Amino acid sequence: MARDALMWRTIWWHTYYLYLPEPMKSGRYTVSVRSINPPFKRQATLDYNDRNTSSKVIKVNQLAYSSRSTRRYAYLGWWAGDAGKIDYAALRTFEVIDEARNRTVHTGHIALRGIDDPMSGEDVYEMDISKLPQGRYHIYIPGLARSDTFTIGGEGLRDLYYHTMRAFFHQRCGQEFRAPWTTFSKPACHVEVAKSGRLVTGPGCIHCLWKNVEPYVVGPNEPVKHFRGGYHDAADFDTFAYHLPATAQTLEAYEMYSSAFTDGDLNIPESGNNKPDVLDEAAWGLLFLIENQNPDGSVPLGRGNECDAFKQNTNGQYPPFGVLPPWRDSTATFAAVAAQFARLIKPYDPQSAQRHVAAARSAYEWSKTNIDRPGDPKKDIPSRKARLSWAACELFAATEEATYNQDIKDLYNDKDRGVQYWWARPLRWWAYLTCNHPEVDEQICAWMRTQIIADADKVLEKMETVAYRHGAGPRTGGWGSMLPALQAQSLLPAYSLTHDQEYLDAASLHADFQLGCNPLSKTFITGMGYRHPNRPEIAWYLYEDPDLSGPTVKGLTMYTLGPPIKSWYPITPPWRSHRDLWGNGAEIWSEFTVHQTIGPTAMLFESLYALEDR
Amino acid sequence: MNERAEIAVVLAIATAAFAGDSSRLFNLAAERGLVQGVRSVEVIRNDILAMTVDAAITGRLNQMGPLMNIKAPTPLKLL
Repeated sequence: MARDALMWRTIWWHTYYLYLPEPMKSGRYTVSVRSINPPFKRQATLDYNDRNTSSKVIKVNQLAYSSRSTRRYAYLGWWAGDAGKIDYAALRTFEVIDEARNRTVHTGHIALRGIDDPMSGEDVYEMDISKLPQGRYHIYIPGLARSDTFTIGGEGLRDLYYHTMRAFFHQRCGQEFRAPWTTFSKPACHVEVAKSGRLVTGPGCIHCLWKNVEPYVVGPNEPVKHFRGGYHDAADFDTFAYHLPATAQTLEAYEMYSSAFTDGDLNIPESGNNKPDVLDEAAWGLLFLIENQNPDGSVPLGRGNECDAFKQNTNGQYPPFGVLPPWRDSTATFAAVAAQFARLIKPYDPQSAQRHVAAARSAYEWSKTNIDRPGDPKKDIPSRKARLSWAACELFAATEEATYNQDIKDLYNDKDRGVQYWWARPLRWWAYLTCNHPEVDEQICAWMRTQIIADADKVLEKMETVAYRHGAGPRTGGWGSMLPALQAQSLLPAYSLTHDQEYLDAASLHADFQLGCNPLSKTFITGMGYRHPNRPEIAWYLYEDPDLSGPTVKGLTMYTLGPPIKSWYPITPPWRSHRDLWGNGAEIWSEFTVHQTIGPTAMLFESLYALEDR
Repeated sequence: MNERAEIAVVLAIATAAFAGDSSRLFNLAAERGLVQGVRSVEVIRNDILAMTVDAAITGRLNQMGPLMNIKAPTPLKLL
């Protein structure tokens, strides 16, 4: 369903803050703008009662707080455009209403947490709700309003696991969407590609919205290849090997808490095959790459269509069958994740394990042989070694062969051993750290453990430097760098290694931020919560209305906060920087990718769900 | 006092925008229900309400033309 020549524009809403001459009492209020005439709506009514009227200024986790966390907060605060911060100093106490019993179960003090908070533009107050047991609640602030309903533990965490994991399913390339797996519809897409690199015209030939693509006529003797597997990158359709860390993240959480995950718990086409659905989803993530691994072991960077992959990776030339050439990073990453998958699938499907470990071995050998070619920029080599050491860790855990252990030791003794993105370290080292083989080098494990815990401790420290708790500290970013779940990538392994409650609490607090405990009082996951993204940059077939309106699929996590917006009036505080808009330059906020947002989020909610008491 | 939020609009609106025909753009947006007027009123404090209005309307109120940003508070009266 191409939408040729469609340009995405913007209309604006303005929010006016109306200062009333006196506080409202319970009753019906009508606000009317006399100068707005029919057919436009000139008035709105508000039935105000502080016990029953909800307000977004009371910020809660709109889905579910972890019941295993010992630190849970709601926040109070608002920034009102050029009116500045709203003063809530007169509000001193709050109540928590248990909705099952319709009674107050907790009364607390509204505490000032940050005055003139530079990130939100607010005076930020917090309400400690840590002591509440599992249940369904709302907060009531006498003289103001009530919060949205929230839960602690229970089905809400299961829903978060279910939908954020199913984000992978809804990004599958080559997968038909239909009942009973989903209410959204899509043919099995991008399954036939001609040697020219062009998609074969047919039901599965779908293109990005902004592309005006002429139907392709396959040449008389032109070969056609069939593909399946992998994930669409975002709202576009290219698939990449660099999505694999997202799969690895879901597998890491699976490893930590494997008994929590079962066959059939994600309602995917493979459900019912006697393998946990999390593993089935991981198999889909690896499928295209293993089926298209080259005889020399190298693995394609991915495949694309007439969307943007060619521009980015092949200078606009269509590679044969749309398959992008192998990169050393793509091959080493594949080796790591294929070996990880092989280890975990082995109890359920030894043949699949054997196939994946064989593919991982040959990918590893190719990566090792090609790690340093003549003319390579020296700056690229450390990160390449880091990926190779990841693959070596996974292959040693999968095969227990001494050669991989020796490679790990050699890479440890290399001067570049510490070069890893901080959030990637636990993922890459987990297999070695948790391997029970007697030849595991204890000194290396101790060093890895120290690094991971130091990273997690930095998150703990920075989290307390900002009013709305977030391990990024007082900074901004874009393209998912402000994603709260990213911070959990060191916290969750640190908790698993130490069982120190501080790390679990912090991971849970980051989930709370992602789900509404933030200056905007929004969730950043599609279709979930009271104020979720309305116009996320996702594929049109994941909207109920293909005009990109109406409800969307649940579970896709957006890039969240972005860089400061300085061109708007009034200048927006840094952590109100978000644009809920399809296209028009808003991608840095409202788009997403498999590896930058879906993977970290799925890992966070897999873990929090698994830790819930059952 | 105002702050801004955004939603996407569709083909006809974009076409009109490219043509630079702001009146036609406004009419098209209105026909498609994209300009509604007052959208919501929310409680911010017991003496402060937040009222959200399509900027296309507030722009007209300000006599700045449809779909234009307003740079200053617009005086609104409560009934």
